[in-house]
Amino acid sequence: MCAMLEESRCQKRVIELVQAYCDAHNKSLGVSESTDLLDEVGLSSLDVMELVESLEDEFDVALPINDLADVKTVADLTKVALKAAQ
Amino acid sequence: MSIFDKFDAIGELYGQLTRNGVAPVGTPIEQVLSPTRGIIDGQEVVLAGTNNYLGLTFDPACVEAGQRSLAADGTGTTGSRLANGSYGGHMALEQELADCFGMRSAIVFTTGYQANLGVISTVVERGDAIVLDADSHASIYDGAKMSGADVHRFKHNDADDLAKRVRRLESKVDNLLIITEGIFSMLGDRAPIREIVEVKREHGTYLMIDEAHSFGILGDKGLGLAEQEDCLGDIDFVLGTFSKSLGSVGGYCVSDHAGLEGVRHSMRAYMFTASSTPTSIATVRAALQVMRERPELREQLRNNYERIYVALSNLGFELGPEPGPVVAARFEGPEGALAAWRKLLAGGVYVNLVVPPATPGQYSLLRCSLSAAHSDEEIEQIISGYRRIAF
Repeated sequence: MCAMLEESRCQKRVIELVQAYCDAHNKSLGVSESTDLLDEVGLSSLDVMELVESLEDEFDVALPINDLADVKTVADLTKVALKAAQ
Repeated sequence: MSIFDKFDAIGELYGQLTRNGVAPVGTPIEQVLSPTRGIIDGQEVVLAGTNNYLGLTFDPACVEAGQRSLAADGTGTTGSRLANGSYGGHMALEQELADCFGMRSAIVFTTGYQANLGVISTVVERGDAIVLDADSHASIYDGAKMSGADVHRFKHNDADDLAKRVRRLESKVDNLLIITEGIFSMLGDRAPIREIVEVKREHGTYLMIDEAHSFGILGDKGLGLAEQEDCLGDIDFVLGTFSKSLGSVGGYCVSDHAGLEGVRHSMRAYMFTASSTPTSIATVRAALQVMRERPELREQLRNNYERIYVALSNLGFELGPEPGPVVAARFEGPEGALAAWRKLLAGGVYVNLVVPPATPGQYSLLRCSLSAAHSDEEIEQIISGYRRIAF
């Protein structure tokens, strides 16, 4: 299943998860692929880890923390998930 | 922007912590009177924040061994073992450690930090993966980061989460190294090492355990959690420190793999640093002997930490999940924890204040570490101090 992971499906799911976080925290923000996870959404490092865990379970992949250091946007996170699925 | 601007925030935090009294971080201890007593801010206090688990820092045999070595071997080695040479004490200690663990060989390091940094950064490389407990010590994270391997965290003490991650990774990497600790330094809880060993066996990975806070404390011989749980034969690398139970400074790695000698000659944290002083080595060797000959010290330590754990629990403090040589009480915010720390100190009890991000989660901790050398009266004084700050 991992190898079949498509970029569009992955991106869509990342956006949905971040949007759900915003809605749960009363942040009126329309999440897109360019949304900045830290500056715009205000995710803490713990929030990011929870988000990553959701993605890992959903796509049955393991994202290395050394790849997450450079993640800023939804698109960046999608790239890391796709790389892990290869 | 100068190179120092990025430190403004941490400087401000330190300023806030020290504004109204003694610094709770890097606390100046004006004089150390014994393994359990010292003078802070002009007042004699019970030391319950120094990880002096077996209380050997003033043990007569250890002190005498250090003094003899200082006179006989000099003050230092003036360089690394690879360049300047290995002293007899370095090699004797390595043999003694290997014999203790019943393993092929051991390497001694100048500090425990360097043991983790050196071994972890060297034994795996790009193309490999490390899966480490999320609450691992900074030295483990630093070694992992330097290794070039992909680094993954599993949920603290959750062997099922570990198994899930290992399963996802095993077909994608060359080698996989699992890392955990015996007793964790922040909450004093223990790894589910038997369950972790099952994961290692099932997936054919390597397994490393850091026994920094469990060496000298757990097991019939005091070798740590892996000995206590009868699974030393499944551990590829046992690491630890001399700076806690053994009351000196330095670190070790013990392994039954013949390849460890090759690792020795490849670790930058070992090759390019000064070796342990003869005095350190002599005090460690003496402390190892005391540890072997006086198992009652472990019993006394256990009595002390179980007594504190029960008492603090009864006072309503939220503690780690099980009694251990570190008994940590949780506070919601750093301000409340700092106020409690100052009140404890004023009552003659010194413990450690730990605030995020050094703690797991977002809470702050007052971390009390017990010693076999704490007397009944000192244990009672510690409990009385906590009673005054109870909610």
